[in-house]
Amino acid sequence: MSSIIFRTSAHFVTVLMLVFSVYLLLRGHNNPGGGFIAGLIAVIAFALLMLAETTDYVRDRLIYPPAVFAGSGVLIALLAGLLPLFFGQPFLSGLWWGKIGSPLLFDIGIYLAVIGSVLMVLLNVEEELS
Amino acid sequence: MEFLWCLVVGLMTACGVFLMLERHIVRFLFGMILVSNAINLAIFVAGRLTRGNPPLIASDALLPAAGYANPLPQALILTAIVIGFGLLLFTLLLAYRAIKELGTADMDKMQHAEAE
Amino acid sequence: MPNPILKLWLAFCALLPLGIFLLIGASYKPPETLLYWPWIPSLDIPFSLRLDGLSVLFASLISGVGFLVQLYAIAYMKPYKGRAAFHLYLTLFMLAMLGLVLADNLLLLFVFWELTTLTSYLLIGFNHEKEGSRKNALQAMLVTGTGGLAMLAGLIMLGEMAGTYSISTIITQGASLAQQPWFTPSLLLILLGAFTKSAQLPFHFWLPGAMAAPTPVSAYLHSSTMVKAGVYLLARLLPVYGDSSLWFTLLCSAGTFTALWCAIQAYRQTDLKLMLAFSTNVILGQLVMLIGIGSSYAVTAALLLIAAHSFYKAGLFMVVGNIDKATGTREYHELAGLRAVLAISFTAALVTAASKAGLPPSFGFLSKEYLYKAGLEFGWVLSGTMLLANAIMVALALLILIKPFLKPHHPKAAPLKAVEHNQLLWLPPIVLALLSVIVPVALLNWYQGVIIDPAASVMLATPQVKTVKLWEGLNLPLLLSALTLLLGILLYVAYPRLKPRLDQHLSGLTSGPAVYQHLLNAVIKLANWQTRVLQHGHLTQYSLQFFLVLLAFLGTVLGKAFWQIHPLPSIEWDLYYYDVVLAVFLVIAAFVVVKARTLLLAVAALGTIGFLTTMVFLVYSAPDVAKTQLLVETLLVVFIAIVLRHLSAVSSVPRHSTSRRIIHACVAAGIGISITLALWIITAVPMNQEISEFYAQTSVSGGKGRNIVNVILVDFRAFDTLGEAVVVVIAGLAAVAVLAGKRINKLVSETDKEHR
Repeated sequence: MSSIIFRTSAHFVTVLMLVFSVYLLLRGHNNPGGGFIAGLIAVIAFALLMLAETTDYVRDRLIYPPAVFAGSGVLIALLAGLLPLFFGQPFLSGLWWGKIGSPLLFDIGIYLAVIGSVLMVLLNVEEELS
Repeated sequence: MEFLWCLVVGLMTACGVFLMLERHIVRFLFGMILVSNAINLAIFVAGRLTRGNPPLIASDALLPAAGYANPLPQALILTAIVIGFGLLLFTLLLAYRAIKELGTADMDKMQHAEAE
Repeated sequence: MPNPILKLWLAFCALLPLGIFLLIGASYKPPETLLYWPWIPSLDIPFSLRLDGLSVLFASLISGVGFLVQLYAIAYMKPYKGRAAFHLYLTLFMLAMLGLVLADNLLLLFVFWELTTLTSYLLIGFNHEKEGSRKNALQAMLVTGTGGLAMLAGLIMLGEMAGTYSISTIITQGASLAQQPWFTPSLLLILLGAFTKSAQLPFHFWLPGAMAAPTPVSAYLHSSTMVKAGVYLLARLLPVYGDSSLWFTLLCSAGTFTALWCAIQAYRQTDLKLMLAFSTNVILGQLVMLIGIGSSYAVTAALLLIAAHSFYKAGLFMVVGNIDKATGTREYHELAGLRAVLAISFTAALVTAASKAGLPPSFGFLSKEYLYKAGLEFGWVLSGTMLLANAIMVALALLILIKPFLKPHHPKAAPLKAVEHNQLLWLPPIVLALLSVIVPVALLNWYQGVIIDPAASVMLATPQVKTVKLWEGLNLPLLLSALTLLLGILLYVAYPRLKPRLDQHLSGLTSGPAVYQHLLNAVIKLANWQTRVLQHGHLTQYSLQFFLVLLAFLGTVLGKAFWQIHPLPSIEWDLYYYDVVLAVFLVIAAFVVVKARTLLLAVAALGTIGFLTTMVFLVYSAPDVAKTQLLVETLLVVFIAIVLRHLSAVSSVPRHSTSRRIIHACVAAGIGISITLALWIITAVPMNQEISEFYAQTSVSGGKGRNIVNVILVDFRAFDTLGEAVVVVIAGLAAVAVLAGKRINKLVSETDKEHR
C-alpha cells in the first residue's frame, strides 16, 4: 500500500478532494451537492491519507479529535435553527442576507457532523484492528 | 416501467430476508445491507420514476422544467442512506465485537446475555 | 464540587424560594390574578397560572416553608455526600409543586402532579445505597403514580364534560355538570388520584414508608406540601363535585377512617419520626373530611388547618431531625435529657407541640375549634371521631415533649452531643414556632382578608364567609377542646399499659405494605413467565418470529387492499434496454450474495449491488441520491473489508437444517412477494403530488435555492435533517464505544466478580 508514489500523491489528492468537498458544500443549494455528499467526500479524502500515512498522522493534521467536529457540527446546525428565533421567526426558518443565509450555516453543520462521526469510527477501527 | 422495479425490489428483499435468517452473523449483516438497499429503492419507486429530468431549477427560471422528477422521495432517501450507513457501521462493529468476545460467529450460540 | 461554587449554589437554592415567595406576594391582588402564556397552542394547552386565595395559600406555604427547609437542609445535609444534588432535587420539587397549585389548566396540573411524584422519588430514595430507601421510594412512586394515571383519565373526562380544560372556567360551571353521564366515573377516578397522593386509607402506608428520606424531605414533602396536593385538588374541585352525595359519603368516610386508624397507629410507634408521619395521615384525613362536608365552617376550618399543620409539623420534623443529630437515634425509649443540649430546639418543640395539641392561643387551637364547629353541624359521629383522633394528638405531643426532653439523662439513654452551635439547625424551627402563635394572635384579620375570604369565594357556591375569631366565648366547641385535652392527658398517662395491649391486638392484621408487596411480586412473576415464553435465547428464532409477524401483517393489509381494488391495474412495460440490464444484474448480484460460499465474494457482490443502485438513481433523475449512495457504498465496503480481514480466524458456522432453510425460503419469498405487490398497488394508484409541487414552486422564492432536494433537506424539512445528524453522531459514538475493547473488558470482568 505504501509505495512512494502512492504516499506522495495521496497528500496531493487529499488536498484536492478536500477543496472539491468544500466546493460541493457551497454549491449544494443550487446544484447537486450539499452537506452530506461533501462530508462523505472529505471522509474519503482523510481515509486516503490514513492509508498512506498513519492514523496518528491524520489525527495530528485534524488538530482536534473527530468527536469535536461531530459535536460542533450538531451545535452549528442547532445554532442555525435557533438564529431565526431572535428575529421573531419559528425555529429553523431560513434567514437570508443576499447570497448568505442560515440554511448554508445549517448545511455546514451537517457537513462537520458527518465528517466528525464517520472519521471518528474510521480512525478508531483502524487503530483497534491493526 | 415501475412494475419491473417492483419485481427487482421484491427479489432483493427476499434475498435480504433469507440472509437475515442465517446463523452466520456476518451473513445476517449482509442481509441487512441488502434489505436497506431494497427499501431505499422501494421508496424511490413509490415516488414514481422519471427519466432525465432532475429536480433542479435553471438559473434563469423560477420553476423546474415541466415533468421534473419528484424531489420529496429523493430527500427522504438521501436521509435514509446516511442514517442507514451510520446504523450499519454500528451493527458491523457490534458484530465484530460479539465475535471477538464470544469466540463464535454462530448467532444460535450467542446466548451470553440471557444465560440464566 | 469546589467549595465556593457549592456555597454559591446553596445560597441560590435557599434564596430562590424566598424570591418566589415575595414575587407571589407582589403579584397577587385579591380575589384573584390570572397569568397566561401560550404553551402548546396547537393543542389549546396554555401555560396559565391562577393566583387566588386557595392557590396563594398553598404557594406561599410551599415557597415560605421551602425557604426555611432549604436553610435547614444546608445545616442538616452537611455530612452527606451529594448534598449539591440534594438541594437541586429539593428545588426541582418545589418548582413542580408550585406549578401544581398555580396551574389553571387540568393537563398542566397533571404534568406538574407527575413531576412532584418523580422528584419526590429522587428525594425519598436519596440514600440510595440503602435497600430500604430504594424500596420505599419505589413504593411511594408506584402508589402515587398509579393514582395519578387514574386521575388523568378522570381529569380528561372532566375536561371533555365541561368542554374546556381551564380550571377557572370549569369552576364557574359549578354543579351544572352533575347530569352528565361521565360525572360519577370522573369523580371516582379523580378521588383515586387525590387519595393516593394524600395518603388516605387504604393507600396510607406509603407515607410512613417515605420516612426513609432525610429529615428535611419529611419536613417539606410529607408535612406541608406534596401530601397536601390531593387535598388541594379536592378543594379546587369542590364547586364541581361538592353537591354530590357520593362526594360527601366517600370523603367523609375515607377521612374519618384515615384519621382514626392512623391516630391509633401513631400512638403505637416508638420512632418519633414515624409518630409524626402517622399523625400527618391523621391531619390529611381530617382535611379530606372537611372538604367532604364542604360547608362554610368546614372550608374555613380546612383553610386554617392547612397552614396551622404546615407550621407545626414542619417545625416538629426539624426538631426530631435535631434529636437525631444530637443522639444518633429517634427511638422513644432511648431518649432522655435532651434539654441540656437542645435548649432552643426544646423551645420550638414546646410551641409547635402546643399547636399540635391545640392549646390556646396557638394556630392549632383555632383550627381545631373550627373543625369541631364544622363537625357539629353534622351530628356527633364526625365530631366524636375527630375528638378521639385529636386526643391522641395531645398524647403524642406530650410523649414527644416530656420524656425525651425533661427526664434527666441516665446512663442507659443514648449519649448526647451538642449540635446547636449551627444556627441553621434551630433557626427554621423557631421561626415556624413563632408563626404558629403570631398568625392567630396578631395577623388573623390579615389572614382572613387575603386567604380565607377569597379562597372561600371560589370554593363555595354561596359564600357565607365566617369571620374567624380566636375567642368566641364559652360554647360547645370550646368544651370539646377541653374534653380533648383531658382525654389526651389520660391517654398519655395510660401509654405504658395501653400500648402493649394495642400491639397485641393489632399486630396480626394484614398491613398495606404486605398487600402492596404481594401485588408487586405477582407482577414480577407474570413478567418472568412471559419472558420465559417469548425470550428463549435463540437469536435466529427471534428473527424468524419477527419476519413471520411482519409477513402476517403485510398479508392482512394486502389482502384487504386487493379486496377493495378491482379491476386490478394493468401493467405497462415502457422499458429501455438499460433498464432491463440494470435490473437483471441487480437480481443476479443479490443471488450471488445469498449463494456465495466465501465472505469476500459476498462483499464484492454487495459492492456491485451498491453501484448498480447508484446507476438506478442516476438514470431516474436523482443525482444527489446517486452521489450519496456511491460514497456511502465506497465507505461501507472499505469498512467491511477492514473488519473482515481480522475475522479470518473464525471457524466456519454450520448452516440450518434443510427443512428449516425451506421454511426460511418460504418466509423470505412471502415477504418479497408482499413488497412487490404493495409497491405495485402504490404505483398503480394516482399519486397526490401536492407536497412535492409546493416544494418545487417555493424552492426559489421561499428557500432561495435551485436544487430542490437540497432545499428540502436544509430548509423545508431541516428539523428532520437535524435529527438525522444527531442520529449519525450517536451511531458513531456508539460504534466507537463498542470498539473500546480493553476498557469495557475490564468493566465486564469487574461486574462479573461482583455478581459472584
